[in-house]
Amino acid sequence: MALFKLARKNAYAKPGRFLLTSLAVLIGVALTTAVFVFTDSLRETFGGLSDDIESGYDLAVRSEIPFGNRLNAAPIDLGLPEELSKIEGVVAVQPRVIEFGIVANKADGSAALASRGPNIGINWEDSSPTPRLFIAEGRPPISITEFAVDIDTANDDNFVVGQKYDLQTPQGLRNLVLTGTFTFANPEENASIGSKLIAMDTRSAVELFNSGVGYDDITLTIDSAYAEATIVKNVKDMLPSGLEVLTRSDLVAEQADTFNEFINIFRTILLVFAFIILFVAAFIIYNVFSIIIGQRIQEIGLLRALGATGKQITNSIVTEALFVGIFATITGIALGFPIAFGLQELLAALDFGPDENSLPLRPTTVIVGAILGIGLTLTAAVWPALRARSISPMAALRSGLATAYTIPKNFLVGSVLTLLGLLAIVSGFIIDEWLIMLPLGVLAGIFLFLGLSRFSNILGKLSFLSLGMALLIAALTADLSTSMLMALLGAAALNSFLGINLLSPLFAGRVTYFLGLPTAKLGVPSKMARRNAGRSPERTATAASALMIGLALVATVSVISESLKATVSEILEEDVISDWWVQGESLGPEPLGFSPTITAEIAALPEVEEVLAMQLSDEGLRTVVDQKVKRVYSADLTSVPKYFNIGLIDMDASLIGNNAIYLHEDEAKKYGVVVGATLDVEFVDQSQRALDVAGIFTSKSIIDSGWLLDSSVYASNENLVPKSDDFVGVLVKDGVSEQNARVAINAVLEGYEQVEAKTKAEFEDEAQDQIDQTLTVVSVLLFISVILAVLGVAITLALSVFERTREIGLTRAVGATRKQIKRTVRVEGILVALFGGVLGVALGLIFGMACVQIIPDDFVSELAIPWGNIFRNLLIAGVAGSLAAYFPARRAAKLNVLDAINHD
Amino acid sequence: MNSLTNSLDLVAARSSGATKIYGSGETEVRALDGIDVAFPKGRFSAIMGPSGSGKSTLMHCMAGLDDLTSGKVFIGDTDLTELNERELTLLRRSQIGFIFQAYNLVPTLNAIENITLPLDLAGVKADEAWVDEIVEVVNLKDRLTHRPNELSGGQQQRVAVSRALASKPEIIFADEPTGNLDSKTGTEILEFMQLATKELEQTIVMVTHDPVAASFSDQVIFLADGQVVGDLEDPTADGVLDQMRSIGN
Repeated sequence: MALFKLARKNAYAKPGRFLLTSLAVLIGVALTTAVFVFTDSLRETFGGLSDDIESGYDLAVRSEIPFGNRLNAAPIDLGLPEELSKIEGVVAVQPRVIEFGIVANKADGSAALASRGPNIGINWEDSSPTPRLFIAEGRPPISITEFAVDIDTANDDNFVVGQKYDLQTPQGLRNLVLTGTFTFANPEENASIGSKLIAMDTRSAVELFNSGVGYDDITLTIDSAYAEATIVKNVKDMLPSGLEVLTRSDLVAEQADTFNEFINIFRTILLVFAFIILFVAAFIIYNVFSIIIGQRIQEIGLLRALGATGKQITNSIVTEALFVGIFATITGIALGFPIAFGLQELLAALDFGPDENSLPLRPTTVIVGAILGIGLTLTAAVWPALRARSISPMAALRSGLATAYTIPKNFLVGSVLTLLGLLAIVSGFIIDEWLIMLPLGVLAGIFLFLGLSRFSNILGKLSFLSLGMALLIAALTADLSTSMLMALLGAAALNSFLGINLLSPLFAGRVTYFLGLPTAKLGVPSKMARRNAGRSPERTATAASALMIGLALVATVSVISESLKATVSEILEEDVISDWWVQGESLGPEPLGFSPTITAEIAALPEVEEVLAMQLSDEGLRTVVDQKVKRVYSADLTSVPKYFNIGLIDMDASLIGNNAIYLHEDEAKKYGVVVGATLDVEFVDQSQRALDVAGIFTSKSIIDSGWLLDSSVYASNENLVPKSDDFVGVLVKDGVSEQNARVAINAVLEGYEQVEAKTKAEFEDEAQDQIDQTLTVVSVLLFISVILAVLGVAITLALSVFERTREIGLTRAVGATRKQIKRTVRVEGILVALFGGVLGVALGLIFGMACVQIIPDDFVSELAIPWGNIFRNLLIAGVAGSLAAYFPARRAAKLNVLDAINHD
Repeated sequence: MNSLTNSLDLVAARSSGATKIYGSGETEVRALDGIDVAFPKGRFSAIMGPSGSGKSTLMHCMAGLDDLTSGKVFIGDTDLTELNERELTLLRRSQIGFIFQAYNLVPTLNAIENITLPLDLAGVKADEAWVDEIVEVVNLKDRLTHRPNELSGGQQQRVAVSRALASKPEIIFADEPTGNLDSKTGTEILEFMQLATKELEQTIVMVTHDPVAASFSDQVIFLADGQVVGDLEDPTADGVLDQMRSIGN
């Protein structure tokens, strides 16, 4: 208990240091908490929303889909509602229509696009006793010349009831009267979640949105006197095959699942950044505790002399770490709330999601926060604490007695631990799951380190880096799934970070000395700074390591994005032939399709020779033989080579017809087909087809999935007819200037603001801009960890200055000016930061190049290194080091010479 | 060999053939060169010698802080050279008290917490009457809740002395206890140590190079070049000084 008290008092005695130590973990815990609280709140709201959205009925009838996107499901026969209404106990039957990409144009002709959700067209529910649409102003639309919009769209985009507006439909532009505004799902609050809703009466909606083919689903309201199960059975009995009946709770759960899937992706991305920050925080804690112990050697020696056992010493330091961990966890969790609130406000401001959410604190959040905050702090402090136990009691009597902790040598324990490490890595490979490989890879490193250290110190020190390099080589050479390879690379990176942290003290002194040579003209301050940085190489190395991690990640990401840019340019230059492309605005990874009427109008232009309409269906079909769902492109196969180069190596033009497909050579090999063979597939409407393989191609740069159908395949099945085109290639006639072509095409696109015609060059610019934007966002998130690392450098410098108080006093006494002292500290800060920067950039380059190598070629094939970006980051590191030195330098300069000399 | 070794049961600590060698070959230094000493129970002994004579090393080895190259040291009947690190720690905790030149108080603990620290470390409840008595004697009653940096040098050393006494150790080793104090405060401390041996029946061994300090002890052992070169019963400052001079020559 005595040492518990001491640990507590030590924590109290230096509140500033205690806070700084906690800060790094605290921020990590706060971010993690914020992510959990925020996503839990999203889940709660969306759960409620699911209930609202799927309201006003008891049962629903819809097409079964064996796989893929419900939006592609076969439409339901127009006569079915009447049949359903005959079933005993069914009170009301409400057919429903839902179509994405229905956009109303504002008064000025620009499109009222939803920025954080889809534009959706639905029907006005007129037969349900409890419809989901609640009129806010005006009246519901009743004819094909009328429509209504949701109240938020009306307010945001200034739609006025009674005015006429253009509506973008699969049938082209229609000029319609706005008869009213409505709220969706809830009479009090519009639950459109960032999407923009257009409603027409049911018949017109079928006509305009679904090309008159049918309904998307039908809901039933039943008499409560009848048992739901009985009616479900009766409905099932009369349904034609291919249709299914579900209860409302089924659909609510399905809707909630859809939301959760999205929320989970979001959560994972945010958590990755939070974990990076926590990893960096561990380094800072480790360093601070090592330094604290260094400063307390005498005190610890005294305690040993007075009868404290080594275990008591270790326990007291671990206890102190526990206080830091508990404090960081509690404050971190508390601080997570304002951050979660901020995230929520940010998203609300971006028009995404409802803005009045509760912020729920789930037990999981607290548990994860505590495990991370306390667990991490303890883990990081254990090593310094173990070293402290070997401080000799003589340290109390002789100052300046350093101590080195060596792991006791023990072959048996060493062999067992080493074997465990190898076992971890082997089982990682056997299990072959990226999510398991990653932690096992790190665990293996720890076991190997602990095991090999028991044979020899240097073996132990080499263990992490060796494993890291071995994993890197494995990642580059093994034949595994991309996600496994990335997990291997991740484990390689983490092991390398730890390994370099262990090894870099060996060269930190020399490297910082040389890095500092350019400052030599500063004279003594430069020399002292360079020597100081090399004086406790371990400390310099750890402070630098934290910075190294952040900068390595930034460098990795920038290599990947630069390579991605190079790949895009390469593809556009080598593989794209057609100069003009028309494409809808992207929402997420896929472009938004547009009405085929636009394609037809462009084709009819006198300036245009011909066009190629391409459609993309993300989950368009699945193979019969192995039930694999495929992403398929479709176009007129005969014309494809005029627009882009897919590298056809074998082709039989006579096979091109309404069953034809071009396959990439890998897919052809996988399914064992050659030109002339057939391949059985199933479409979303459950129809099966034997496709004729009409050609084999080699380039996946445009047809990334390797599946290119002839568009006539769809024409022969009306259920499948694409309602929109996704990319349209345009060949202009000889002699038509770019300017004239642009004017002509843009005239057609008038009224479709989200659809744009771009030249190859514009395409390239835009793609590069997008990549740069993503890079910026990711870098900003990663720079949070860099800022923390800089804080770590600042703490290290501050503690060094404190430790060298006497020395600084002496230097001042023999004539150093305040400015020179300040400079000494500042140069040291810059050197430590640059050391981390150089290590980080070197690692980042290696891992960036490895990533480019591992990422499939159809995504990134060219390697490019952004030297400018990398040097800029090094510069930032240097400046950051100088900033980190600001307060320590000021403190050092302000020391009173006499007090400093008498300081012990 | 001094005259008191013949009554072993009255000896608190002794050494036989204690040798400590630093380095090897040309740089070999024999800090202790076969020392046989014994410190009787309930007496205040001083070890004197010029710097480099081995007096501090002798004390460290006898207190189990440092180990011998050869020879043996005993606290009571226990042979320290037979003990492992943990046993040594436990022995230090229960049977040895320390007073250092630089006070060596834990800066974050207050006076009373510093005093009871060895007991707390051992997880033993302090004998409150005893601690009260010590505190009374050293006149620290109104300073108990002060931190070391709020105490004068003399007060800090009195806390250190109280700490050494609190666990009623077999023997207390004091390393230049008055080295950092002015002569008046130094005298106070020495008188108090005298008192502790006489009234409280403590055994104290003090290393010092100050003849005045040594004169407060009951017996002085003189060291030079790692060997015992003389002893003095009931010393006076002048007597000690004379002996020192003769060693110097």
